[in-house]
Amino acid sequence: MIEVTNLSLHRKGRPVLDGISLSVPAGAILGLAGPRGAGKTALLRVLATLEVPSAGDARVAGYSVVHQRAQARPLIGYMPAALGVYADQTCAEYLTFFAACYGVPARERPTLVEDLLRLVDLYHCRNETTDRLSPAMRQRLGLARALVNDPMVLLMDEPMSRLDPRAQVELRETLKTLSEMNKTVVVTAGSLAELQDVCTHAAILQAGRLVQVGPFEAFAPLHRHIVIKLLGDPQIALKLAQSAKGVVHAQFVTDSALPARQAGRPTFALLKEMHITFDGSYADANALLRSLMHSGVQVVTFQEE
Amino acid sequence: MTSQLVDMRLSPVLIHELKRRMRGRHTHIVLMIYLGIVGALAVLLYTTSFLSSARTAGSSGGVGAAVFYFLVSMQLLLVVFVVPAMAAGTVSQERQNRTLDLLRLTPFNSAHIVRAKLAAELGLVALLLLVTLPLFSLAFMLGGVELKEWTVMTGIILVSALTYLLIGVCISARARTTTSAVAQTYLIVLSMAIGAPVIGLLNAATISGRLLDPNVINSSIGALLVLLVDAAANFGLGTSAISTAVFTLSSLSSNADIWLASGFSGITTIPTPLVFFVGIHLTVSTVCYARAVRGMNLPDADY
Repeated sequence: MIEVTNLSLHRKGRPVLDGISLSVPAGAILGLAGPRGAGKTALLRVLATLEVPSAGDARVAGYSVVHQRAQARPLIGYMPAALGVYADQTCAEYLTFFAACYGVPARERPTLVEDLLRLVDLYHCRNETTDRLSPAMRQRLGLARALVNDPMVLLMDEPMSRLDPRAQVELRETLKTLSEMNKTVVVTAGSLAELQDVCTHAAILQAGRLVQVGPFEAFAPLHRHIVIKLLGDPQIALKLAQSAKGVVHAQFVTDSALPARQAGRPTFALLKEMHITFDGSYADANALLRSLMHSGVQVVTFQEE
Repeated sequence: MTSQLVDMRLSPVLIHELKRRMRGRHTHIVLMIYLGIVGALAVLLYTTSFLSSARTAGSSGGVGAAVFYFLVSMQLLLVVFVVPAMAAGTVSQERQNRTLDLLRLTPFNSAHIVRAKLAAELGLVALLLLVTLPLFSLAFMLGGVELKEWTVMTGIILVSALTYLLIGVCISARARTTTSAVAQTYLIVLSMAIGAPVIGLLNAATISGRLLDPNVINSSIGALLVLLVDAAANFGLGTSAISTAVFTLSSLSSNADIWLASGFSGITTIPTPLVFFVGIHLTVSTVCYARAVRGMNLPDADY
């Protein structure tokens, strides 16, 4: 579905992408990871036909993004990291406008817009102006806009970055549904850990070059670091954590071991901090969180670092 | 049925732009203020002119002409001072709001988007011109004005509005911020509308005074130089809608040809500023349109 061949992009003489070649089959979800400035957004923009590469080519659904932009565009859905909105439009008007731009017949637009708003759980906000949406809601509206033309290829730039944990889980489910509908998805993130459980393929970019690409399983097991702040019996929490699926190592951090940045701040004596090395799935992490909450321990924060 | 016909005929981008402009209070407030000022001043002018003409000749023709000239002046000022601000934000605002990429991703190409935005702006300019029609009818009712004068003046105003809009859109498509686009657009439009004719006339007056020496005129090179200086003066006048309108109105009122006339020196017959005006403005419009379309595809510096 996506074929990238020796793609390079230069801006002001500086290489942003350097000889990228990769292939994504139909229905696959490619996770594109890498540090800031690695070229993830640039690659998505080239695939979305927003920028012309300096060398090489990419084909989306068989159409060149350099020479056949007009044919490729209706088949692509692009969700930028920061969604642009028209402040005076409601969510429904916003989607209706883009549906009209993509040539959706007028009689079909209301139904399409309603379906999309329900899909991203924004139907209750259909008459809200877009400038009143929270960043997470805006991100969901961005997903709806990207789907308005029923694209074969969906390009998503850092979609998880502004979402709360619940919305992240929902987005993962949506991505899986889209994959089952044989849509190809390319999604970027700071680390592959964010995309675990979702991606079928992965690629790592660094300084504009492709470091590694292939099926997701081929990548080394991913260890994540979870920090839990809680109130209650630490021994119960520790036992639960150590017996939970996916937990490699769990320990409480003593006051003396807390990072120096916290040393000068007033701390609550009862607040305990547990650090966990984790290689399980997000479902395993959710199961751990639920078991802690049911054990009588009060979880104050549960976050990945 | 009607909405389907509209959807088939009009671009969604154009409908979107028109809706956005007419949705807020801004456009209505501008219309009210413009019409209020123009109406009040026209009535004031009419009253004072009518009273003074009643005291002197008793003819209302002079009053009608005065009202007409005043309304044309107001429309020219509107085009020079308001239109650039309207156009300068059209694309840069989209870029600042990060909606330009989303528009570019649709099947519409950049040329279509520029045309749709331009048509929406022209629609608004046409509305501002149309609301003064009842006041123009006052001038016609009083007499002293011919339909030809109104037609030529409206043509000048529309051509200059189109050009200034395209200059604004072109700069807007390449500017990073709307503030910078507005400043650049005003600089260019005011240079064209005020600066060029002043410099052209000053140069023509200085150079032509020296060339009119009989020894110089009688030589073949001297005659060519006089022709060039006269052409340069008319070129300078033709750069501005204001000076072209003044020159053309004076030609029309004296029943002179509006396309060919004697030059600044009085010894050559050359195209009038109106000819240069049409040529310059259509050329600038074409160049700006092409550059605006290309500017839409420039990558955002933020990426």
